Amino acid sequence: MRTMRRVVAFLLFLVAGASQAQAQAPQPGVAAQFIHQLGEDAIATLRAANMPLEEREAKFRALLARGFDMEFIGRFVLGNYWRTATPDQQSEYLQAFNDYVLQVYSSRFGGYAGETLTIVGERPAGERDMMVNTRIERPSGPPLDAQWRVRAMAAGPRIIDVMVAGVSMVATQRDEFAAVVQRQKVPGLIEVLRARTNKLPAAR
Amino acid sequence: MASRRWATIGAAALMMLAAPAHADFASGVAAYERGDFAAAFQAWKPLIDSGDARAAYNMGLLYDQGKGVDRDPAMAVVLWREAAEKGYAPAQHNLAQSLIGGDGVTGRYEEAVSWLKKAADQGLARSRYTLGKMYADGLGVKKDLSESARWIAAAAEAGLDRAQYNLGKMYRDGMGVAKNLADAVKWFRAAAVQGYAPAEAALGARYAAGQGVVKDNVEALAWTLAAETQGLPRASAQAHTIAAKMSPDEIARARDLAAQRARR
Repeated sequence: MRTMRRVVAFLLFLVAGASQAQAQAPQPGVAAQFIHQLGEDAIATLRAANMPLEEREAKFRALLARGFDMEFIGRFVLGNYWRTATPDQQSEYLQAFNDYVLQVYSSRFGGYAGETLTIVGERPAGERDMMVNTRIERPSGPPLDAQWRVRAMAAGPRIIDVMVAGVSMVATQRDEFAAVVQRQKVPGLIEVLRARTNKLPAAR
Repeated sequence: MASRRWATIGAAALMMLAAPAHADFASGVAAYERGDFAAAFQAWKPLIDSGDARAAYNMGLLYDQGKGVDRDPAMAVVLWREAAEKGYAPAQHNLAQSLIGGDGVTGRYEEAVSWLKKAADQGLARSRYTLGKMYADGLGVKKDLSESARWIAAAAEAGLDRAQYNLGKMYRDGMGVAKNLADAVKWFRAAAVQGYAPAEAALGARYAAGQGVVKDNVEALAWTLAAETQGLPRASAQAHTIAAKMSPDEIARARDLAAQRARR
């Protein structure tokens, strides 16, 4: 059932993508170069040892914010509930979602321990996207294969999904949010997202 | 005389006990900073048994974010509750956030509010802001917009960017305070100069509409571009709408202004 929902979600995702008139597939090499550069910048930021950890994470968040199309992802992840939300709720949700995703990723990668990101290749995904395959080598464990779905948006190439071990981040998030909205409605989801990004950092 | 000597020896013994504990806390922090979370964990763990609230609080963060340990939000809640009960304000705050977010614990808004009040009374701006939001949404307390404005204003006065932005919205919309467009601009600006993207976009929109400030498309676009650079959803669309009414020269000036501010 869960797998079925994922498949449906993914198909909806493709349809949602197809309706974006200005979007088109990045030229060959562009998406791979974009991910490569983002990875280099991210590693340089996380390595800057003369900055407190939370400051490094904040800089990393700024990089991510420029790399992902948060509005596109945020709308898709909310699914049909997007249309039931008031315009005020939509913009509050987008802001909270943006902060939440950035927080999750920056604290996950904040403890940088010598990871390297290598571009393995890229291939077209559907008519509008490129899928960039990467391998993340970790001193702490086996390598991790991640695929980055990149679309050419008006502002430049942007990531619209990340797949790790064949699982789409966007589809997973969509399932999780749907469960929260069913219980607590859209304002409840906004509060949950806000609470997760409003915690204080470590004591010194 | 003898009792004084014993007191001195006692104090020295206590200091000897206390000194390594402090050193361990600091070495834990140093390990945390360099991303060696396993070492931070080892340094802080023994301190918890001796009742160190800061160590328990920091350990809670490791569990909450899965740093050096498997992510375990329920364990974070246990540790934060322990430190919160000792009166440690940051733990009271984070415990409340977990209760609101249903993170490792079933969401209990009433309990969250009681911890937020304790931390807010100790002066934590973020707790004051969150408490204001709880009053605005009627979560765990009876909905009360003026009480909401009072707490959010206290956090805004302390310089918290998101509180300043929210206070700006309250003045703009007349929610919990008398509508005042000039005050709305004042608070949007306070958060925008700190680089808070939603406030940059909101200030841009005020300039574009000429509400609470003299209409100025160059300023409007420059602030909106600052938000767009940070990847704020919808900032791009707002920038396009504003730029559509401007000459190429004005657009160039707005870009220069945004670039100048970004360099500061």
